[in-house]
Amino acid sequence: MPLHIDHISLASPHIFRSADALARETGLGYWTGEWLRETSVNIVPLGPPGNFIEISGFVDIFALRSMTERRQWLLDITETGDHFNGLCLGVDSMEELEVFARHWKSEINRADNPDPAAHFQRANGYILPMASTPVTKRSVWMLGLPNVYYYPDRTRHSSGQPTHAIPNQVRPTGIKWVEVGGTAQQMADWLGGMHYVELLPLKFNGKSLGVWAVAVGAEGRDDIVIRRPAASDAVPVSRFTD
Amino acid sequence: MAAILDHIHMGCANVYTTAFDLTKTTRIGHFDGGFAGNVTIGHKTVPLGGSGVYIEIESIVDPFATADVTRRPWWYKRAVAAKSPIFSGICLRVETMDELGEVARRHGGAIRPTATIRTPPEGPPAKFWDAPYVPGSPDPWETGKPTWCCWEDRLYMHPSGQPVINAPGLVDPMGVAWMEMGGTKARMQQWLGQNPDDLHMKFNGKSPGLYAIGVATDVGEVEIRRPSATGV
Amino acid sequence: MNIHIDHFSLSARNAFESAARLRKETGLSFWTGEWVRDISCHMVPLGNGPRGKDAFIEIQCFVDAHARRKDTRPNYRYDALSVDNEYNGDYWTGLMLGVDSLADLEAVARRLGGDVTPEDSRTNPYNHFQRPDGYVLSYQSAPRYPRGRPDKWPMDMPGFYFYPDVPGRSSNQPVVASPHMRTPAGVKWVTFGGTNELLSDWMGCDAETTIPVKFNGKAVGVWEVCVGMADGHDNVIRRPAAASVIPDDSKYRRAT
Repeated sequence: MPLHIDHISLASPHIFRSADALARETGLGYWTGEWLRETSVNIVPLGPPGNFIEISGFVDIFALRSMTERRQWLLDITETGDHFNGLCLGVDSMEELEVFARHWKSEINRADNPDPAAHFQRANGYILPMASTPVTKRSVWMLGLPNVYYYPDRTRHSSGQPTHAIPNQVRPTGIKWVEVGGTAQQMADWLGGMHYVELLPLKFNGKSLGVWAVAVGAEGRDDIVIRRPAASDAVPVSRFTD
Repeated sequence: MAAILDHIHMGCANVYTTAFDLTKTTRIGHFDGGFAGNVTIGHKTVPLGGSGVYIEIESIVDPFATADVTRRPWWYKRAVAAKSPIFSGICLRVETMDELGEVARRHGGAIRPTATIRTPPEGPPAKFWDAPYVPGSPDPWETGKPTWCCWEDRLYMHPSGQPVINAPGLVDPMGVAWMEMGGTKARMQQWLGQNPDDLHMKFNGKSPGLYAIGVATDVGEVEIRRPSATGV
Repeated sequence: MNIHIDHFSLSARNAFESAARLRKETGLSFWTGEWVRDISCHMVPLGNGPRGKDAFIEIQCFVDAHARRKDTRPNYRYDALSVDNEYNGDYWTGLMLGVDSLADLEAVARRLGGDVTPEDSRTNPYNHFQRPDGYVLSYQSAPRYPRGRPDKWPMDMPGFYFYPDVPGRSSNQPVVASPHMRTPAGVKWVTFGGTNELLSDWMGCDAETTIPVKFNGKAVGVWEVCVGMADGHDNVIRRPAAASVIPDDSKYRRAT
């Protein structure tokens, strides 16, 4: 696949309450148990060709005794509830990832970092190898901008893992579109060309940058539209443009 | 790009006992892969780790199909005759349908017109396309020759990445370290169109087919040996 | 009255990390996804209880940072876990006993001068453990003290529980498959702080002959749990009791 949407992050004040609420609202199942340092993600698979929403939140509140800008941002954007806080794109090779790293004059978070604490871990002990770019002191998510991922082992991609059985469950058939803030030109400027934007099922609403809605197809029912405010609605990106 | 190992087929008379016995002896877990065919074939999957490899264990689960000779797959008949599960085939993986098409053409055939589908109890079907398909010709596996498949953009739900049963004492499989094949390296290279060393094949000179595999695990290598498609 | 060990509460700063570490230490796997109010639990079945009532460990952590930050009342569990230890902040925060009927539970509550929690799992699921599949765990416990725990009783005296749905108990759910898991075969013994006299007074019967407990005279609470294993190599899970790092628990004695 050329550049594609991989996943969308939904920051939550309480990942179990949010996952339960989303399941009741949409019928989309989720699986639990994956974590990275002080956060855990409940994963909502969205169907082919392999996308998901990660409902992300703190599960180690003691980590907040050492406050950082990023932790404060996550607290601030979840003060009033769920907010979409990350659009995560994907490529299928390290070579393609390196193109984006060079464009952003950045490094790559390598998938082969030997420290397990640097990777998502699952309840079964599986450590998820994942490479991404750019590597910045401040996450580009805080600016409402997407980053790019590459998974050396796509056979265990989070979107393909089985969910808990939930009441009135539906089977998702894939992302139909994602509504983001800003304009197509702003996204093209970030990614390095309009040709990248044209590969993605994005709609632009001109609001503050970030994800505002995701539409997902589902078997036997109308498309599901999941609408939550973008993180930039709670904390303007201007706070981070120093 | 060179093909890599995708899956190994183990045909048998009883998918339940075969999967149970294999897990018991090797401590490699499995899960219920569902059914194939016209709900006549039961399927258990044994993830083997590495670059995404698995064993698919299959048998007939429909007694009416068992009774009807014309509906018994060749590997089922061979397993019954051998009184043992057999290694019935090897399938290699290519990344794109274009590559699969090239493989098919090189062998004078086409991509099989219907996709292979396994329907698990709870999830969406696992689906891939395979080649070469030559109408009227026997399955290459029947003569001990590997085939090829392409999962298109469905690798994210590849069977090798799915969770296994929660039995105690299972090992963590880490890929197929070697495969013991019948025939010769030269003949295999001719069929594959690539060096068999890429696939860690070694050759015993017997009739063609797969005879044994070595699976790397976190506690050492496990050998699995079964009669091949054509010989023991 | 048949009093038995029902479960243990192991509180962790990060239940995900704690459960993974416990499994590496013991081979005991767990399942995830159950939560109540602002905590989430990784459940570790311990096997082999009478009539299907296997004991379990609930490894708990806070998952609602906002709720915790807004609640300025003293929080016993938070304060205990704030104290570093060799187990990354894990502390035993509960030994929970089980009884076989609501009538037995009510008798316990009366004897200890408290109430039984209401059975409101259908009308107030938020107050009960919920699972992703929609199952709300129905249980009642005692004693609940509407005006705060009496000074006579240390904070970590065991709670009593009754579950009407035995198969639905957390110990009976399938664990996550993980390499080298081992099969638990039941709780063999527990080391509890304090004395047999104190716990027997609480239980209304001789503790040492009713449940497999021994005493170390330290702060009241669990210190060690010995889990029998099917392979014969038993596990002793050691963590400090929460009370051992709480010098004065008077500020936590409020209505429950």
